[in-house]
Amino acid sequence: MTRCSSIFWRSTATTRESIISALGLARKKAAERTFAWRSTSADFALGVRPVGHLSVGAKGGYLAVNTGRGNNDNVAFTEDVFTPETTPGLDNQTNFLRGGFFGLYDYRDSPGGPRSGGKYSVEYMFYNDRDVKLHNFRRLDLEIQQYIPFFAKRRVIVLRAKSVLTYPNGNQTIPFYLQPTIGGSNDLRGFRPYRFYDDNAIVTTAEYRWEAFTGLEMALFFDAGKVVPKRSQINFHDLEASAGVGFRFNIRNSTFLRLDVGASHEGVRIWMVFGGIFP
Amino acid sequence: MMANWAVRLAHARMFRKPTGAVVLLSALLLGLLGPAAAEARKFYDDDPLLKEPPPMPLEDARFRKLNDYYDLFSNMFGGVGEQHGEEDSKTQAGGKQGLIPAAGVNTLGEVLDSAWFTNRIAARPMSIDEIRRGPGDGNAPSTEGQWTIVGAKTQGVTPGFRIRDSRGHNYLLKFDPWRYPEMATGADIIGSHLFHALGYNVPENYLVVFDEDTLVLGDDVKVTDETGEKRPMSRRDVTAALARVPRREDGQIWGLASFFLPGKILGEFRYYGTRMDDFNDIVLHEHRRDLRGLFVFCAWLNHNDSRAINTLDSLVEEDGRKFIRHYLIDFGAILGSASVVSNTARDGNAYFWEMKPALAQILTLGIFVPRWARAKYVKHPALGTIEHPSFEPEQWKPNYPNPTFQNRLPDDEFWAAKKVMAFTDEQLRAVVKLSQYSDTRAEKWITDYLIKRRDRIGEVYFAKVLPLDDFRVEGGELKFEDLGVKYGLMGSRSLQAVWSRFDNKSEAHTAIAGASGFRLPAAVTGGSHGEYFAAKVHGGDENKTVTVYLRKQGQDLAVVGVDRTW
Repeated sequence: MTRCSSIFWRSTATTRESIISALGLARKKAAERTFAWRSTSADFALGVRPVGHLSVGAKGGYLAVNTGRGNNDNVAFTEDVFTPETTPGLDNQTNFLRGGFFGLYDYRDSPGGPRSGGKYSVEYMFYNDRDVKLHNFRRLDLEIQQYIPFFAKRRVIVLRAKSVLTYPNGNQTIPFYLQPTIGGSNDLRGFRPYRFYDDNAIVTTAEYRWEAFTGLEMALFFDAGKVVPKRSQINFHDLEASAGVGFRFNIRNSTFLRLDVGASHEGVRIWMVFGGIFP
Repeated sequence: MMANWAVRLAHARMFRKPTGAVVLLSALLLGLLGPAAAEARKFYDDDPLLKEPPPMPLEDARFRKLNDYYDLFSNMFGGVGEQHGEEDSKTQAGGKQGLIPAAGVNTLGEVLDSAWFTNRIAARPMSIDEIRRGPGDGNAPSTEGQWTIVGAKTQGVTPGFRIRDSRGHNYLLKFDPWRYPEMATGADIIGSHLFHALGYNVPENYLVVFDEDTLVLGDDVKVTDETGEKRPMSRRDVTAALARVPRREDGQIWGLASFFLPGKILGEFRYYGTRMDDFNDIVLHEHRRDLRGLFVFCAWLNHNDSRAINTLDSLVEEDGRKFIRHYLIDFGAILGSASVVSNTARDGNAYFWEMKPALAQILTLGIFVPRWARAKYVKHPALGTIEHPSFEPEQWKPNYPNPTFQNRLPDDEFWAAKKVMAFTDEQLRAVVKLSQYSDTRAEKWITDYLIKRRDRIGEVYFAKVLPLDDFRVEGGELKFEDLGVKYGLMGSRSLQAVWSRFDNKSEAHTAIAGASGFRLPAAVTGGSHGEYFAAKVHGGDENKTVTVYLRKQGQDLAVVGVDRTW
């Protein structure tokens, strides 16, 4: 039987509009803020799978962003609390041309609900500010997922580490809405979405999963991570942490519904998400 | 013969629960047949029967689609089918009150040839050629001309087509999943041949290798697209579907062509109750020995997907009469295969859902590890996930409870186990070779798997009863085979026999003084025509006995019945 290498391409065009009511102050545990985010993007990816599980390629696209006043009257508006100096991009709207390269080695046994294998990805992107010329930067995303099965794959240890590093050009800045964030349903599950943001981020997760019965997998998890303004500050000290228990409902080796309960020093968060964790 | 069957129908409790029509019919039959019909007795003159009488002709029967989810939930939570009763109930089997004996069997405990089952292996010698031939080998798709697609399933993990060859024969064309070349097709070939040799009706399956150009698109073929809309199928759809199936090194496509079953397809049969529009279907399915014993075969072959959806009834016509024949179909999910993916360790070892094991997992945070999860599994693309060292047939489970399997008794298991044990190593090797695995290691592993699991079945089920079989009278002695000894599962043992006269009407035994051993006592050899005798055999364990019934027929003695206790 034969299998062959392949060339693939993808294109996406999306328009998003959302009210984000969660951004806190970077590194500091601040109150909730709200702002509106509207974006329109058109992206492509062109890649090749030269062998087995390896994919390499290039991607690029155009991102039009518009931020504004949120509509949640229960919390403060972002622009009322922060200034453009503390929150780059707050006062100037701009659009981006972006492009870069990616590499992916994915040998997970079932991407929808992996029990063995791993996924290692790297992506390096250039963001070119087309309008105000203040936010030119590069961004490096690194992610490792490792699935360590035992007892005939009925038990799995999942380890994941992810970092997002940014490289502003000269004195340019990263607009706050493109800064990496942590907190939410996929990482630091004991904190609200977008709880922490800054120019650089690192987050790690460890999960112990076990099969309760066909269709239900349970998990104990521990998340830790932080955001920092400088890459040199990336380390494993002073991490924010959360822990919890999860219920994953599966059909045909794929998780279609996930219920995670995460706890941190800021309280307990319950997440119900359609689909698995760690795409 | 007809009178004989009518009486048995009227008296046998294991048959279909009587409707008003059945009660009326029984009363009419009893009235017509007079005192003879009302006379109960253990043996009739034509016992032991070898096959059911010809089926009563049916005019027609309706297609009945069983909902897959209904079947799942009704079997898992519904408590369907008649189950064994309490100890004080009137039924009795194996010397124990409350157990419901298997039905659809003759007085020797053998299943009758019928629309469900045909005795093959263990009932008569089967050559390797006959086993390899399986349900048939003369209807492979013609290699002359093209195959026309007349229907398609392009969604899902693996596509499938309904095709018509140049002779007009119809087939289901199935493929392996991309990551598991040879797995589902190999399992289907092995399964269809073994289940056929075991006695079941199965479709003819053929491995086929063909070029993409062999397939041409027929007229008005519809395909369901990603949005669920039906639209005409295009050549591009065919190409896209075939891009998802594994190919051989030379680019040819490898698949399995399943010859369409004859007759009018009527949908699945259920593993409980009867089919109400089939008046030949008079035995509750949950008590059929050929279905109770199927548990053992499914455990052997890890057919954990042995549920109603993988059965089929068809209205066929033979000798000018129409009747319903019952089939087992689709063996692509046996052994280590789950058809579209590889099996997991759970498959064949645990139900989808069962309260106690689930709670044990939830409450212990998975610290409690089931036996089967600690086993070492062989993983191979052509085989899926298999293992045999930890195989315990009594702990094997289908995907969800099956009322027929749950009703099995040690004599049902013994009946099945002796058929499994009748396969020789050479016969199993020959069947595995039919799957044409490209890796010889896969061929060896699956052969070992079948042999080792076969032997474990013999060890387990021959130990639950006194495994004596093939009783006959030769040279003035009662002869038999001790299957435990024959297959080397246990050493030779001392057996005793105690003789009695047997009253066929009252079913009372009267001991023959001083008659013991296997030499026929003088009272037996000198008995009169039509007189019955019984020899109760045991090997030290008084609970495990076999009572053999003999009938004097002229100067001869015929073995007419076998009862077992355990």
